[in-house]
This record gives sequence, structure tokens and C-alpha cells, in this order.
Amino acid sequence: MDNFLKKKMKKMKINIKRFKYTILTAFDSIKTNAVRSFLTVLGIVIGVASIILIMSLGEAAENLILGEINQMGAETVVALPGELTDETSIFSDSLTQKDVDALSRTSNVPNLVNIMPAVVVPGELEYLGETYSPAVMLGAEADFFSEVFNVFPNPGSNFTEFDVDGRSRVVIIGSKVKEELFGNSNAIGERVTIKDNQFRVVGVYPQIGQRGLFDMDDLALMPYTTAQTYLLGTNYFHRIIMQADSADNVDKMAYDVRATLRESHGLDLDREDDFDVLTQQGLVDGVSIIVGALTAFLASAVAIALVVGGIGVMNIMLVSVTERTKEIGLRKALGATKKAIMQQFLWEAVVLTLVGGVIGVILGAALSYLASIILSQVLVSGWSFSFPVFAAILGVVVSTAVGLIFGLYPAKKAAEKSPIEALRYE
Amino acid sequence: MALFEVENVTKIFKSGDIETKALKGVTFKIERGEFVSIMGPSGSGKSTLLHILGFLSEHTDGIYKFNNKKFTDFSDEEVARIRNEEMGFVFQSFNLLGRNTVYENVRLPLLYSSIPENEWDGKIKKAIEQVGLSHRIDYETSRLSGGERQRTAIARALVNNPRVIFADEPTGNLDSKTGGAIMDILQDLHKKQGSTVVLITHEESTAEYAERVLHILDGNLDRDFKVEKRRKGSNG
Repeated sequence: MDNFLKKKMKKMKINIKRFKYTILTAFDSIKTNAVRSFLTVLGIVIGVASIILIMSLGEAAENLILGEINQMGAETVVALPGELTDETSIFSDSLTQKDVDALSRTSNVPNLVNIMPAVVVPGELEYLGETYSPAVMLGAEADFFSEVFNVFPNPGSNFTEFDVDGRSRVVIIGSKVKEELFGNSNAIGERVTIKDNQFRVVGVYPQIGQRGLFDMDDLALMPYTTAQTYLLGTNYFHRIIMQADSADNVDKMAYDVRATLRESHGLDLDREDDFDVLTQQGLVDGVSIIVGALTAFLASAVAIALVVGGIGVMNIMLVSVTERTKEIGLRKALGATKKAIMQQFLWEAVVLTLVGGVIGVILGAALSYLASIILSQVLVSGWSFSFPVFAAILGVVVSTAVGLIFGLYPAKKAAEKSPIEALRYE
Repeated sequence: MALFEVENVTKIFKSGDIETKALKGVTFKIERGEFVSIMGPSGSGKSTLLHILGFLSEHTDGIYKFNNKKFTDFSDEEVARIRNEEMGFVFQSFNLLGRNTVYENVRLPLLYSSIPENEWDGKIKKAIEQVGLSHRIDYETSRLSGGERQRTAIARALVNNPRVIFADEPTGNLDSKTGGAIMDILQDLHKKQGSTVVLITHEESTAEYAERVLHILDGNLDRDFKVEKRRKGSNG
């Protein structure tokens, strides 16, 4: 038994020693043909770099979108008119004041603490010949904005319930809108024109950026009644935005909202909802699914690129085997077994693709970082760099696998060369 | 017991439909410790014979025994081990790895051996010293002269301390003076260490370093004779 173990140990030692020199030989050979080796693994480098780039950008995009969704507020529930699949939901007329009244009843939706109907008004504001269309022009309630989004006009003040009831033509504008129309001069009390109607500016929001669902800087807010009567000529809402008493009760409240709206709309059991109820968590799940699918699609495209890269590696390995026929013959004449030759070429392919994979990871990370800097400065604020550790590991593992798979055939070819024919090869 | 026993061995090369009979049935024995030259004009089949003796290619028919065991009874692994540990090869065109140093070239057979790594360095240096190349130990072999390259090749053949050294036209690419020095080294090995040396050459002057000459002509063993007046090496 002892002897058996000793033999085993000895064999293991020899194998480790061989492995060491196999790897050294592989590096040596790659170094000798540095330019060719680099060109050979370029496909792998680009493939792996693409994986990293896609995964990194995908993750950052997801984080960004999720961040925006998170700004919606965990307690917020939004009802939209029309069916979920209905693209024209903004024109759907299923949400009315009757629904708002029904939802406001504590017996229907006990967890509701705030409710605000809203309409979206397309168009632009005009002041002394200057025109500007804000990102969002909204008919809603100013108090709700203050309570839910914690934003107060300064200078100026909120329009009130009386303004809503009396359909006052008043408007609160964001800091950017003010800047565009008024520059440095005073805006409060001035009259702007929206679709031939004169509106008095009662407040300007300070520059605070995104709050909840809206960019407060690039927004115009008027009473929803005013917007319905003078600008839209309708009596339905595009959104009903509600706030729950706590984030834990959001799901329950969403259920109550749905039940209330179904009852209010007199929907039978066999009819589908003619509205949609959104919560933050629901949106998060939706986005994760979409981004995940997109990432998977791109990743599979990259997988194809990696296979193509692998074929390139195989091609060059075959050339290398032919070129080094004499060396193979010599090694065999000096006592290399088929297995040893096979291992040598296989490891050469693996080392080649592994190095390519590592370069790809570094390149991909660098490109993602660069992209994140550009994107955050030029396109989207809040875009952040994220290094996808999983993708990096995947990239290295896959490139190694590519080397193993595509190195196998050339290595086998090398191993099967007859020593004397190989030695004679010129 | 003879080290090599060759009985009616033939070798046929096939290339498409064309068959070439390189060996037409040769029979001889080589004893342990002998210094034998295989002579013959080019195309006579002498290299083919050496390749068969050196386990580098298979014979077509007949019986070839190494160390009293039929070649056909050896497994692939055993063939590789015997090439590695019991045989050393010296080729006409040196067959060195040009980008590697003398030291690395001589180390090559050890990579495939079962000799522990801590004994390598001593063996490599000893072999290089034996061929008188210690001053070039860290030179890349592509920078060496022809004679130095062949010395490196001999050191490589020696490093595993093989029973037999095969030399295929070792002086063929060298001038006569350098060639003589190479032959001196081989003769020295035979004399001082009792190595079996099998030499291939078409030059009579080179063949005369051996004790015995096997003369091959057209794939047949034409003559088998002892060398009466052996050439003495400059140091022998």
C-alpha cells in the first residue's frame, strides 16, 4: 500500500512538472509569434470585451431605469385608462371624476392618503414672442405635488383648491421653463399664452431636478379642471395618482383600487379591466424582464462572435501545427508521448484564448467605463458605471472553453504525426 | 544477448498506388556496447533501417527485437519511454529549437522523462561539459556554428544517459575538421562509457571510426564486416 502511494505521488509530481513546462512552452511559443498570436485572439478579445460592454451597459441601464422607477415612490399607485395592451391609452376615456370620488371613499380604499387626477396637455407656452414646450405640461393639483413630491414654489405659491374648483387660468412653472421664457426677469404675475388662453404665473419651482414621476425643472402645472375645460375639452383623466399610507400596503391598495374601478365602471366578471394599475414593484419586475431579455439576446449574438473567434484560433493552430511539424517530430523522437504533444498544443490554444479573454475583460471594462463617462455627461444624468463581475467570470470561462474546444482538433492532429515523417518535413 | 536483433525485416512505403520497397529483408544482430556504422549510397535504405532501429518508424514485415522483446509488443507509452530513456538521437540537420538556448535544448528530453527535476541541472551541465560547450550554455542555438550545434545535439542525446546513440550522418553538414571533432566525441562515448553507437554515413572515412560496418545496397544487407584499421580520434 505504501509503495502504491509512493508510486502515485511520484507520478503526480512528474505530471505537475510536465504541466509547468507545458505552460512555459505555450507562453514561449505565443511570445515568439506575438503579432500573429495577438491577431489570432483578436476575435476572442473583441467577443469578450463585447460581453463585458453589453452586460455593463445593460446593468447600468437597468439601474438607471430602476432608479427612475424608484423615484416614483414606493407608496405611489397610478391608475391609467385603457387596457394594458392598448397603446392609445392616453386618449382612452375610462377614468373620470366619478372614479376619483369612488377611490376617495375610505370604505373602498382604506389605505389611501392622497389622490390626484391628472391630464397631460400637449403644447407650448408663449411669453412676449418667446415660446417653449416643457417636457411635461400637466393639469393636476399643486398641493398634492407639495405633499407627495415635497416641492414648493419659490418664488410664488401653490394654486389652491379654489383655483381647481373655479377652473382658474393659473400656472406653476419649473426653473428651466422660467429661464427659457423670462430669463432673469421676474415671472410671478406675468401672463403666458397656452393655446390662445392667457395663464397667470403664480409660482416657480426651485431647481431640484427629478422628483417622483416628474422633472420638476422642466414642467408646467395648472389645475386639471382648467386644462380639461380650456385646453383639452374633455372630462376624463389620463392618470389618477394615489399615495398609500405605507409602502407595505401598496399591493393591498392596488388591489382595492382595481376592485373599486371595476365596480365604478360596472365591469362584469367576464370583462377585462379597461384601466391599468401600476405600482413601483410591478414596474421594477417589468423592466427587469425586458432588460434581462435584451441582455440575453445580445449575449447570444456575442456567443456567435466567440464561436467565430474560436474557428480563427483553430485555423491558426492548424497552421502552427503544420509549421512546427519538425518540432513535433523532434519532441516525439526525444520521448514525448502522443498525450504530451496533445497537451502541449491544447494548452497553447487554451493559454492563447485565456490571455485573449483576460485582455477582453480589461478592454471591455475600460470601454464600459469610458461609455459610462460619456453617457453620464452627454446623454443621461444618473448613468453610473457598473463592472459586471459575473460577465467577467463568464468571459474568461467561455474563452478558455473556446480554446479547449477549438484547440482539440489541431492538438490531435499534432499528436498523431509520425515522428520520422515529421522530422523529414521541410 | 544482443541489444538489437533484426530478422528478415522489410519496409514498404506506399504513396498512392506506388509501393517502394526500401528494405527487402535484412537480418543482423548488434551487441551491447558495439560501435556500428551503417553505410551505403543515398537511397540504399540505410536511414530507413536506422529509423526502424530507433523506434521512429515501424517495419512492414519480419521480426525486430530490442532488448529481446519484439517491437510489435511494445505499447505506445513504452515506445515513447524507450526513445526517451534508452536511445539518444543525433541528426544530420541537428534539429535543435533555434530560439532556445543550449541549456534548454539539452533539457528537452528530461521534460518527458521520469527523472526528478532536482537532478536535471546536474545532468544538463554534465552533458554540455562532455561535448565541450560549457562556455556557450546560455547561447541561443541559432547563434552557434555548425559544429557547436551538433555538439549541442550530442549533449541532448547524452543527457538521459541512454544505452544507445543513433547518429544519422552527424558530420554531413560539417566541414571535415569539425566533423572529425564530432566523431571524436562519439568515439569517446563508446570507449569511456561503453555506449552502443549506431552511425549512419556514406563516407568511408567516417565509417572507419566504428568497429563494424553494415553495408546496405538497394535495400539489402550487402556486406557485414569488422573494421581492421580503425581510425583513431585525435584524442584517442
